[in-house]
Parts: sequence; C-alpha cells; structure tokens
Amino acid sequence: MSKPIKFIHTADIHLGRELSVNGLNHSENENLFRTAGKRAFENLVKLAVSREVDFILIAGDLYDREARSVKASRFFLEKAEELQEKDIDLFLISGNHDPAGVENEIFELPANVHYFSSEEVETFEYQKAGRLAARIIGQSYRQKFESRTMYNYYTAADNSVFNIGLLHTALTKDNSRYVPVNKGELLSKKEIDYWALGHIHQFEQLNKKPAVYFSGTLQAHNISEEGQKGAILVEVDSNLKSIEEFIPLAPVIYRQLEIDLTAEDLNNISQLQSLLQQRIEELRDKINRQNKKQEFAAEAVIIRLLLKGRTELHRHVENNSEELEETLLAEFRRSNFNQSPGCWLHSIIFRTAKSLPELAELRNSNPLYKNLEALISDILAEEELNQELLAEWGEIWQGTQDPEDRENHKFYPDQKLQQEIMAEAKRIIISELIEDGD
Amino acid sequence: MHYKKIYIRDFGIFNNQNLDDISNKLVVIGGKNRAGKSSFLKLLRYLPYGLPQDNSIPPAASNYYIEAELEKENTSYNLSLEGFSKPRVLDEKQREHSAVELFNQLDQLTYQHLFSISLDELQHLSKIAGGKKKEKRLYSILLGAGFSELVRVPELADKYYNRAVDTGGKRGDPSVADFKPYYNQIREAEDDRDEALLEVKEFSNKREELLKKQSSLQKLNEKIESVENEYILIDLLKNNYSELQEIEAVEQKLKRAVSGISSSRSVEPDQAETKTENLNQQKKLNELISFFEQNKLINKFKQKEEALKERIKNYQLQKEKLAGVRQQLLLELESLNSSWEGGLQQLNNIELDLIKEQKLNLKLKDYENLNSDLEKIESQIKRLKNDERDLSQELEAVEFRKPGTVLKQSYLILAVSILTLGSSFLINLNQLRYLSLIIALAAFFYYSSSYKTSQLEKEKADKLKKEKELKQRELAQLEQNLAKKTELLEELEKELGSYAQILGIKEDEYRSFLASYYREIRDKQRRYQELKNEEKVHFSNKAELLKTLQELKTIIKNTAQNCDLEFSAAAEVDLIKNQQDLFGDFELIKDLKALTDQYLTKKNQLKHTLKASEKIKNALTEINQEQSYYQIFINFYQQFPTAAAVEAEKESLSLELSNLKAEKGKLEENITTLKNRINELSTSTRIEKAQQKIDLAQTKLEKKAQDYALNQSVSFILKKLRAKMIEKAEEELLKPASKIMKRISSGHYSQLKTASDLEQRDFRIITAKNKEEKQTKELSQGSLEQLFLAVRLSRIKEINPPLPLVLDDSLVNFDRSHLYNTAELLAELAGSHQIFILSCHPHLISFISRLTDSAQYWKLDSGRFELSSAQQLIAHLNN
Repeated sequence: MSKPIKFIHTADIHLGRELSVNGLNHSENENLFRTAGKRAFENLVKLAVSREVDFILIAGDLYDREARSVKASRFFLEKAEELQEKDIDLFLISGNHDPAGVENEIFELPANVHYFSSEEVETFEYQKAGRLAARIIGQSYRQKFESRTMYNYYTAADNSVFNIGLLHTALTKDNSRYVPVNKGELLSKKEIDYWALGHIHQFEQLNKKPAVYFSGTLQAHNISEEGQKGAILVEVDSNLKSIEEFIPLAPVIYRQLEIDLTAEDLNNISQLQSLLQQRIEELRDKINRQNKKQEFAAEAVIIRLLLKGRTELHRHVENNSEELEETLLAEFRRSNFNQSPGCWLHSIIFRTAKSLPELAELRNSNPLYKNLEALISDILAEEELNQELLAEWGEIWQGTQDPEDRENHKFYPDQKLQQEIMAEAKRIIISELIEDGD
Repeated sequence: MHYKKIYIRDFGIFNNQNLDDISNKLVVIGGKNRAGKSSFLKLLRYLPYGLPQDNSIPPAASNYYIEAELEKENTSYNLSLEGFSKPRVLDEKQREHSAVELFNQLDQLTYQHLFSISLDELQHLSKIAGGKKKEKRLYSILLGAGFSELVRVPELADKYYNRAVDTGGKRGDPSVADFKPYYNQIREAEDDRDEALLEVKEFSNKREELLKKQSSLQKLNEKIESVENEYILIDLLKNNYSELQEIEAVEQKLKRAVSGISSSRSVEPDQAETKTENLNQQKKLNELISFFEQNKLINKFKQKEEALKERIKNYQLQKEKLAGVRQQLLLELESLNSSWEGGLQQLNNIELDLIKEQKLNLKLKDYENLNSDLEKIESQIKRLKNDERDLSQELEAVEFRKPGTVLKQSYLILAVSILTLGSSFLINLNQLRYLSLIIALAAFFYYSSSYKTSQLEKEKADKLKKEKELKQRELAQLEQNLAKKTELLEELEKELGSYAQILGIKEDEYRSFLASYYREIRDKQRRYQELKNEEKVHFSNKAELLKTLQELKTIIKNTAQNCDLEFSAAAEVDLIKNQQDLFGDFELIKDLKALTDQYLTKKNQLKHTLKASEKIKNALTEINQEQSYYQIFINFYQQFPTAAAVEAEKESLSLELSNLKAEKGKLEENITTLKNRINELSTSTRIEKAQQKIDLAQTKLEKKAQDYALNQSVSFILKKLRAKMIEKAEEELLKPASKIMKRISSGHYSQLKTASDLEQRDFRIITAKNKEEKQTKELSQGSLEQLFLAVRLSRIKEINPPLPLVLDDSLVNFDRSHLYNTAELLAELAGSHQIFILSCHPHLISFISRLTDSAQYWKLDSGRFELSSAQQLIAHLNN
C-alpha cells in the first residue's frame, strides 16, 4: 500500500512566447493576449493549489528558445516561490527549446524546483509524510536536438510506488532530433506507471494503462494549435490506480472556422458579413456553453476564417482578396472584441471560386472532370507525384514538419493544406477549362 | 447515332431542302464547287450546338431554320434549330433533351474538329509545327479524347505559372518577388529577436558584474572609511600636536620629579632595563598622580594656605602685643605707686571690693562740702559785718540829695541853649541854629532823669534802716552753725584714713588722690584680667595652629614617599618657627600638584576631545580595540616625530582620499549604469515586439506562399493532366491510328508517336522500312493529311456511341492508291458510323462505288439536294 498522490502533468509552456494575432495595433486587447501565456501558468498554479496536488511535472519546453527573456525567467521564479509556499514541488526536464535548463536559469530557483540533469537519467524520490510516495525519472535535453534514446535508462527500482517517466519526445522512431522512441518501446518499460510526455502541443492519450500522455501546451500560440489547451490532473490511489483528467487552462483559444459559401445565396459583401457574424456568434455561444463546464474559462478566441466554395461573391474576392480581408478584419475586430468571450479575427482565407451551376452535370459527363479528380487524388496520394507537386511549391514550402524547427520564412505543406489548395486548384481549373471553354 | 432526315428551310444557299431517308452508313454528297458542300458541312457542324453569330456561316434568307430527325439507340429525336438559339430536341414522347446529350456530351470544338473537319482546316495542319496557337488547338483536339479544354492547357498552365513566378519567382525562394518584403521583415525581426535573446545572457553578465562592482564599492568604502578615519586622526593630531607635546613635556617633568635620576643618566641603559625602569617610573608616576587625585587635603591646604600664613603672622603679632601689654601694665603700676612690689600678681591681692566707690566718693564729697560750708559760713559772717557797716554809710549819703536842685540846673541849661540860638542868627546862621537845638534837648534830658531819682531816694533811706537790723540777727545764727560743722569734719577724716590703708597708700596726703588712685587700681586690675584672658586665647590658637601645621607636615611626608624630591619637612618641634621651610616644601608639592593638575587637565581635555565625536571614537577603535582612546591616540602621536611629519601625512592622506573618492564616484556611476541596464533588460519587450513583427509578416507571407502554391498547383495539375492525356492518347489513340496510317500508306509508315518534347506539340511518324523517324514538317501534304485522317479516324472510332462523321474533300491530296486505301477504310467504318462524304472528285466516288454497295449518293447542285446514284454523280461531276 502506497500513499495516494496527486499531481499535474504539463509541458511545452513556452514562457515568453507571444500569441500570433496578426496585428500590432490592438491596444485594447493587447494585454489579454500578451498575458495569456502567463495567465495560463497562473491558472496552473491555482489549479495545483485548489486541488492540493503534491507536485507538478513539466515535460520540457518551459521556455521558448526564441522568446527567452529575463521577464520570463523572473515570472517562473515568482510562480515557483508561490508554489513553494504551498509546499508543491516542481519536477522539470528541459526540452529542445530550453536545453540544459538549469544551467540557463538566470535566477536561483527555490528548493521545490527540481531540474533533471541533462547528462544522465535521474530518479527523484518524492517523499510524502516521510514515506516514499513516488519516483520521477527523467532526463533533460543537452542541446537543441537530442538523439539519445534516454528512455532505455528509465528504470525504477520496483513497483511499490507510482513510477513516472518524464520525457520530451516527438514519439517517432525516424527522427534523431527529439529522442527517437515509439510508444511500444515506452510500454516495454514495465515499471513505469505514467509516461508524462512533452513536445507535441496537443493533448493526446496514447495508452490507458500504463498511462502515456501528451499534455499539450498550456496556451496555444498560433492558429495551428486549435482548440482547448490545458494540463492533466492525475490522481493516484493507494493501489497505484490512476485517474487522469484533462483540465483546460488556456485563457485564449484558437479556432479555424471553415465556411462553405456554395450553399449560401450570397450576392454582396454585406450578406457575407452578416453570415460571418452569425457564425461567430454561434462559436461564441458554443464557447460560452463550454466555459460553464470549466473551472477556467476561455476569455477570448482567436479565429481564422476559411471561406471556400463556389459563390457569386467570388467576383468580389477575385483580384481583391487582400483589400477585402483588411476591410472585413477591421470591421470584425472592431465589433467583436468587447463581448464574452472576446473574438479576435486573426485572418481570413479565401478559397472561393466562381459559381458553376452545371457543376453536377459536368461531374457526371465530362471526362476531363473525372480525369482531373483522379489526377488530384493521385497527386495527394502518390508519394512520387506528391513530391513533384511540393517541388513546384518551391523553397518556401520546404519548412520542416515540426513547427518548432521550422524557419519563420518557410512553411510546411501538411495534408490538410494540400487538400485545400488542391481543391481550390481544381475549382480554378474547372472554371478555366470547362466554364470558359469555347 | 445518325441523321434520318434533315430539313433545311433557311440556311445560306439552302431553301426548303429535304433529305429524307438518309443512310446510316456512307452518304456521298457530290457537288461541284459552290454547290453548297461547305455550307452543308457548317450546317452539320453547328446543328448540335447552335449557330455562331460571327459571320463564319453563310447568311440566312430571312431566319435560319433547320430540322432534323435523329436516331440514337433505336430512339428517334426531333431536333429543330431556329435563328441563333440553341437547338431544341424532343424525343418521340415529346420530352425535351439537349442536343449535346445526343452528341455524347462532346464539346463543340472537339465535335467540330473531329467529326466535321474541312479541307481548309486540314490544310492548316502543316502549320501546326510552326507554333501558332490556333493550330495547336486542333492538334490537341486530335489528340485528346475529345477534350477540347486541353487545347488551352499550355496557355493556362503558363498563365498560372507566370502568376506564381510573379509571386515567388521560379523556385519559390522566400527571398524574392512578392515574398521579399515579408521575408525581409521576418529576417529583420529575427535579427532583432536574436539580439534580444542575448539580453538574457547580458542580464546574467551584467548582474554578475554588478555584484563584483558592488563588492568593489564596499571594499572601496571601507578603504575610504579607514583613510577618512586616519585623516580624522591626523587632523586631530595636527590640531593637538602642540598640546600633546606639552602633555609629554609635563609628563617628563613629572617623571623627573618621580625619579630624578633617570633623566640625569649619562650612560644609555640597555633596552630591557630601560623598559623596566620606564615601567617602574610610569608606575610611580601613576601612583603619584593617583595620590594627588585622591588627596584632597592638598587642595584644602592650598586654599587655606594664605589664611594659615595670616594666622601664623597674627599669632606672632598677638604674642608680641600681649608681652607689650604686660610690660606696660607693670610700668604703669610702678609709676602709680613707687613703692609697688610683687609685680602684677600683687595687683590681684588688693581687695578692692572692700571699697565701695560710691561710698568713697560720697564721703569725699561730704568732706569737701563740709569744708566749703565752713568757708562759706565764715565768708558770710564777714560779709554781714561789712554790710552792716555799709548800711550805716549809706544812710548818711541819702539825705544830701534833693529834687529842687535838679530843676534849677535844668533851667540853666535851657537858657544857654536859647542864647546860642540867638547868636546863630548873627554869625554863622546854620551852625549856630543846630547848636542851640542840641543844647535845648540836653536841658530836657537832664530834667527828665534827675528829677525822678531824687524823688525815690527819700523812700530808700527808710528801707536801709530796717535792713541793718535784719543783718545783725543773721550773723548770730551763722556763728552757731559753724561750730556744729567743724565737729562733723573730724569724723570724716578718720574714715578716709582707713580707706587709704586698704589701697596700700603710704603717703599722708592721700585725701587729694584717693579717688583717682582707687580708679587707677581698679582699671589696672581689669586690664590685667583682660590680658590674662587674651593670653589664654592666644595659647589655644597656638595649639590649633600647631595641629594644622602638623597635618601639613604629614602631607609633605606622605608626598615625599611618592616622589624622589628632597623635602626638609620642618623640624618636629617648632613648626611655627620652621613654617618657612614647611611652606617651602608645600610649595614644591603645590608645584608638583599644579603640574599634575595641568597634566591631568590636558590629558582630560584631550580625552574629552577624543570622546567628543563618534567619528573620532570609531577611528580610534579601528586602530585598536583593546586600548583606551587616549592611549591609542598617544601611540598614534608617537608615530610622528614632528608636526611637519603630521602635516605631510595629512596631505598625503588628503590626496589619497580624494583619489579614492574619485574612484568611488566612478564606480558608483558604473553601478548606476549597470542597474539601469539591468532594469531595462528585465523589463525589455524587444522579444515580444520582434515576435509580433515576425507573426505579422509570417501571416502575410503564408498567404503569399499559399497563393504561390495554388498557382503552381494549377499549372502543375494542368501540365500533368495534359501529359496524362497525351500518354493516354498514345496508348489509346495513336496505336490504332498507326494501324490506320499503315493501311492508308500501304505499309510505308509503320508507327505514329507524339513528339517526345511535349512543348513541340507534334507527331512523329516512323517508316516501316528503315525505321526512319520523321517530323510532320518533313512530310508531304498528302502524307500529312493521311496522318491526321488516321488520327481522326482512330479518335472517332473510340467515341461511343458513334456519331455521324462529315468529310469535306479532305482526301483531295491523296494519291490514288492511298485514296483507295482510305475509301476502303471509310467503307469499313461506315459499318458502324454514318459518314457524310462531300466531294467534287468523281474518282473518289468511283472508288467508293467499287468498294461498297451500301453507299447512298446525293447530288448537290446550287443548294438543291437530289437523291442520285454513283454513275449519275460521277457523270455530273465530270461534266
């Protein structure tokens, strides 16, 4: 029989990182966005205090490599001190963003902060009421990239207490950057009861027992990190049975709203605006409903609008999308922020095309259409063809898949984007070849 | 599908023309030039799609109108075309259909090019390789499985490719074209961010530096404090140097007093000895000082000294005076009584109290009174006797003088006066007048006085007789009284004699001085008594004085024990006599005491000065915590042999201090700068700003990148689509076309291919003999036409269900054998397709008639159709 424990698993906090809002002059809400990361962390602390947890695990990337500031360090120091007052320990490994973490800490941290070594796997024994209550095993990144398969040495002495593995990994075998390891290998370490993983910014349960989790980040920083972000509260009973609960903590969330205009009978921009407003209201209601169920409410949502489909409106969009976007952004930003939750329009992407009433007929009869569809699905599916396409997309699309490694001036063409672009290309080609064919 | 009937009400040359029962196989329409063949071709070409409004078709007489009956899969359809509207198609049940539906949804261009190609158009084929766009379309139509759209593919692909290039260059390099500004913004922001990232490091460094600087400052402050302390001391020393010298001198003096020998030592003693000696000396000095401090008597004596001396002087004066008084008294006694014996002691033996002075005086007075009474009585007696005799004489004198006489004398005088007056008028008038007046006045006075007196003297003589009798009686009484008094006098003389005996008066005539003698003795007795009293007081004074002096002597003796000075300490016995010596010694002690006091005062003053300020105390404590402030200061003082050395040290310290302070100022400035920077760094928002800038530029760049990707994709897909089509064409079209070509050319050409380079949009044709590969431009017009016919036929065969084919003299350039081969092919194709052959060449009709029996022949002449036969038609055309 072991002592019951309670802890929080979090990771990829990226302290100091700014939220991508696509706009510098947003003075009224600047503070809300600027402090979002901090407030998410403060929520974490509140949660830890209110639920009386024993410790918090941070599975790497507490800091952002590109936003490492004195302010960020000082903030962490303050929070660590706050936790110390409540007798809550912090166990952390450094990830690819903050390698060799403890060496880079500019302030002397209080005694409740335990940094794992970057040189070897360490085991911290957590004592509760004078008795060993848990073991936390971990190792920090030494450098930006970590090819060591550290998990091999994650070995606990026995199964008498809850053993936790703290690891920062992409959880793929075929990389030498973020600890090449897969789930199966983790599961082979029989003594570990809970794998607290970091690096992937999205919450994910990979295995039930033993538990393997990515906690995701506390606060999303850009539109690619959609949805709720938070931490995992883990309660372990005296029989070492654990219950995990994901608790949203982020004060700001990102959402992409895809709106297909094909079915909408829109003839002018005003109609489009009211449609968009309606969709935003719906989203707001949804978030408000969700907030009621949550301890920590989402105060604001940053929205990217993706408008697609064939519409009469396309003629307003064509050749004028930038200006139109700016107009719409200005309009929506002005009118939508001072409600709850505040809605901030990040950007609008137009993937519209001319309306084509005989489309259905074309689809059935025109061999070109069929050929085109077949070709596009081939391009998306066939590796070689896909590579050929991406080569055409040029250097700018040759950013690495991992956003953390990607250069700021390059992008990664993920499947979803490729599909979107292909769909739009198809619409263009059909418009050009079939519609305008004579 | 085939046309069963065509009715042309109004189209160009045609007017109300009916073609009924049109064969579903080979339909040969023969006509000379301008008969309407081309018009009919155009009619068939546009019938399914509507007529174009571009003057490419012959005009209508009033309004275009054409009807046709078609059969497709055993269903009849009625098509009607009016004006420029789309054709209207109704099936047997009058349901509406689209014409395109009947024509396999084939697009207009493809249908027109594949199924209704004209000679002109075929003639244009030679120009395909020349690169004109319009011709390229035809090529594509021939190739594509009926996809006219593909004609525009290269153009469109180019269009989108160019758009992409405009956005992001050929390679999609982020640093070019439309990407460039955002790329640059990102890079700038990244540089900024990277610099800002160094801030953390800088913060650490600066903080470390600050700590170092702060510790340096602390050290410097300590140093400054120490130098300041030293400076305070040196300044103090400078101000007190002479004082200290004096103290030292006084101390030396005292030391010499304590030990006279050491200072007069000629031989330098070895150090240890000196030290011990110094210690002893110091100890002794301290003892002396402490003795002086504790002994209050010295001060008391010092205060009383003058009084004491005065007392001694007074004592001595008193002593002399008392001796003088005693002597005087004795002398006076001897002069009072020459027979005085027994000195002053005898004086006390006289029992003066036995004599009452009052009584004595009374008796002496009585004695005198008696004597005077006796004399008085005797003189009274004498006077009375005289009076008696006088009275008798007087009586005799009074009878002589009478009042009448007087009156007579007065009148006399008056007479004289009148006489005088009278004479005055004669002689000197005035003088005589006055004289007469005076004489008259004198006469008056004389009368008034003398007359009264003479009157009284008569009464007086009477009285004198009575008085004479009275005096005689009185004389008798006096003589009696005289006897009585003489007796009393004798008694008194006896009493006074006894008094003289008491007073020791041996003289007989004592009565004259008895009273004064008595008083003298009494006075002497009193004075003697006074003297004795004074002497008594005097002796008691002496005793007191002696006691005091004894005390003084004791002090001197005690002092002497504490120092090595010579004291005579006046002889025991006669302090008063030796008081000079004694006070001489006391002077020495007083000097010593004064010296000590001076020493102590100066020392205390200095001590007070040293304690007056915290700064000084701190400065001293810093030097030594064990010793007293004074001792530390003295030690400090002893480091400097001269005031000049002190001055030099002070200056050097002052310089050092100002240097240190300058250094401190610099250091503090440094620290302030560091602190400001640290503060700045800890609140820096550079990273945030850089991030925002990156975010903003990135969002924009991403859009551009997506535009780029989209345009590239469009271009890519189009190219791929086309390539795929070509591939398909080679596979599905060119293979059968090769067979057709081989057949048409009687085996001369064996294979058709598309050009390896798609951009050339060309075919390759390969000869059977030596596998020679030829481009289209190398071919003769005939071969070229054969090639395209082969391709067309191949394409046409592929399209199902089959559609009617229209050939307009397209075979004109074939040589005969090839024409025959072609006719043979067409005859075969007519098994599945309705084929309209429009021709003006009789030999073609001749071939066809030889090859097939199933052909239908129509004569066309000036827009009129007439069912005919091969022979008739050949004849008509040969006409």
